[in-house]
Amino acid sequence: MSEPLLRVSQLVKNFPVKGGVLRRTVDEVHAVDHISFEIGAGETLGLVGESGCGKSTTGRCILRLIEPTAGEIWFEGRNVVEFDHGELSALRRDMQIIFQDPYASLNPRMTVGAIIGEALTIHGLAKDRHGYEARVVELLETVGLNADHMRRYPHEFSGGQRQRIGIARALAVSPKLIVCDEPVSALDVSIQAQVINLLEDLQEQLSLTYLFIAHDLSVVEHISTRVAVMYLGRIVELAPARALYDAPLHPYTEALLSAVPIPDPTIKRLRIRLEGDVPNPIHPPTGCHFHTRCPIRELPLCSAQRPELREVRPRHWVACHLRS
Amino acid sequence: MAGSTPASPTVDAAPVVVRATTRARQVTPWTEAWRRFRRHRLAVAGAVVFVLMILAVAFGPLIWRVQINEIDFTAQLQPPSWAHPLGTDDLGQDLLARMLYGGRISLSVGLAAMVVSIVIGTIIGSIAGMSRGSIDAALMWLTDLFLSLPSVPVLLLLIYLFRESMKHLIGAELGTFVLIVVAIGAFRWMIAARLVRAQFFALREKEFVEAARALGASQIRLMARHILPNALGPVIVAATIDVAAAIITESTLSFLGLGFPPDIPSWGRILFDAKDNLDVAPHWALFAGGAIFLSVLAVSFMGDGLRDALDPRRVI
Repeated sequence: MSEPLLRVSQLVKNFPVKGGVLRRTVDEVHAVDHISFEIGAGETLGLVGESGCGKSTTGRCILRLIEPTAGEIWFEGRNVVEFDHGELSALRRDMQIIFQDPYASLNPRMTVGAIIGEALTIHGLAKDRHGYEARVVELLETVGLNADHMRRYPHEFSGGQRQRIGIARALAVSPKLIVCDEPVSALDVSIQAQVINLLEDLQEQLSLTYLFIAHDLSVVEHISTRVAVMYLGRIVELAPARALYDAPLHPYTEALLSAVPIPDPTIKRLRIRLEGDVPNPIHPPTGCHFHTRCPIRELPLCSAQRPELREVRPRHWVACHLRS
Repeated sequence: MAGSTPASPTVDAAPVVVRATTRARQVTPWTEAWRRFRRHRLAVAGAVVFVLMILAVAFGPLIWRVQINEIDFTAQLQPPSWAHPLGTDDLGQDLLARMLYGGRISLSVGLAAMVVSIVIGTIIGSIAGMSRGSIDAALMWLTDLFLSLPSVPVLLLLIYLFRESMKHLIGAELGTFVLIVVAIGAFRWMIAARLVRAQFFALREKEFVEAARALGASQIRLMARHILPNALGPVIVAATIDVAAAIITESTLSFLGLGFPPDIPSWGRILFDAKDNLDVAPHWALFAGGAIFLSVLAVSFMGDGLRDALDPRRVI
């Protein structure tokens, strides 16, 4: 396989916890803990996990919206972590992000045209006023809105339309990679399908690559080429979507999949219920992070040693002592 | 709907553009804001009253040509009459003439000091709100320091120290004006600074600010286009309060003999002079107090209207 578009290697992000009178760093939240993965050009990598497992932090680190603590992020053969101000500015044209909340992600005091066109102004992508307007209209129509919407304000639109505006804004710079940070989680189910289809159409037309972050497994299954499952800052399983859904290897993935609702009440299946809550990421469990809740754990092995991500079947990676 | 997205983003968008530009009646944000402002009845009433007051103090003395310091001991403390529409004070000076002249000083001091305090406060608050760590901490110490200073004694000291040099530099009246405006503004920016900083802290974590950062927007652009416009609401309200406070502070200074010279009237000064004769000549205090009250109220309604007109989310 040739060099992937994006290669993340041993990425770490710790957030300091400040306390005391002197505001010293007393502890650290281990949001992302040595994760590595690759995304090939034109591919969609789904990133799933519970709230607080570090999915969004990973996405923002890749864009350098958050500075990673350690690790390497290789994009088109160059390490993004070492980029200076100018290189970072150029990177903004190649990587974009779509946000979860379409109400918080659009500036309420700017017209839709100004929101979408801002990137054109920043990067000098439009020659003149006419070129600027033409491009904004083109972007609006690409996402299924029309030219009349340009002079309106975000509050005049529905959630689904707002999310389209957010997508148009990301497309303005003609990026190669888009980090979709739970782009449909805040939308109605009927609108979710529309936005997912739009993202798929756009991927085909513009040969985009997606890192698709979500907590809804059925959405991820639909759109992803490969899926990575995260638990408490680590990737526990990484496999092609079909393989992961048909034959999950990690006990956490099994539990997650067994919780996906099936729209047919006659089908009965075994639900795997996990005990307790996700442990505190300030003091994560030793060894395998999942061993405190794992139904198949074997102590002391699981609490003593961190399981590495291993390719157990072709292209199917899992981090579990017992399943590899 | 999504399935029917146009086949390619490079299809000819030209005809659509033509439609868009011919259709557009070019609504700029300012004409839109003006349209929304006109819908706000109280704000329009406030604006009308305020404009009338400005016209009166600007052109009134040209029409009502009685001298402000014409002393007439035969007409002391007279109630309103045809000769003196607003009555006279204890020296028999015509109050209408003094009110019109004093309005020039009070209104210009009020507005200018407000501009000074809001500009300083917004700049300091923005810098503190954009930067983390030591710059923010230092600016907030400065703010707290100014808040903890007893403002009137320091004002007195400032004016006492610089009045003579300002007088030599640009003349008695203008010198006092600049000094008073700067001194009042320099002691009222802290509220605006704290407001702006708090707004910045809340707004800079918003996703639309993060989106702009992801697009490569510079710090200046983030501040000017995304954060500041959304932080303005409370600042405008603070500004209207500042106008009132500055008019009243000016009158305090005049009362203590460190404002404008005693022969130059301002509304605050007239009000203070009137307080000893409240029982015999209530009209004296009433007109001066009424003028301050009316101007402050008008400015505050205008501020409300402005705040709503600049917020596109509000349906008006």
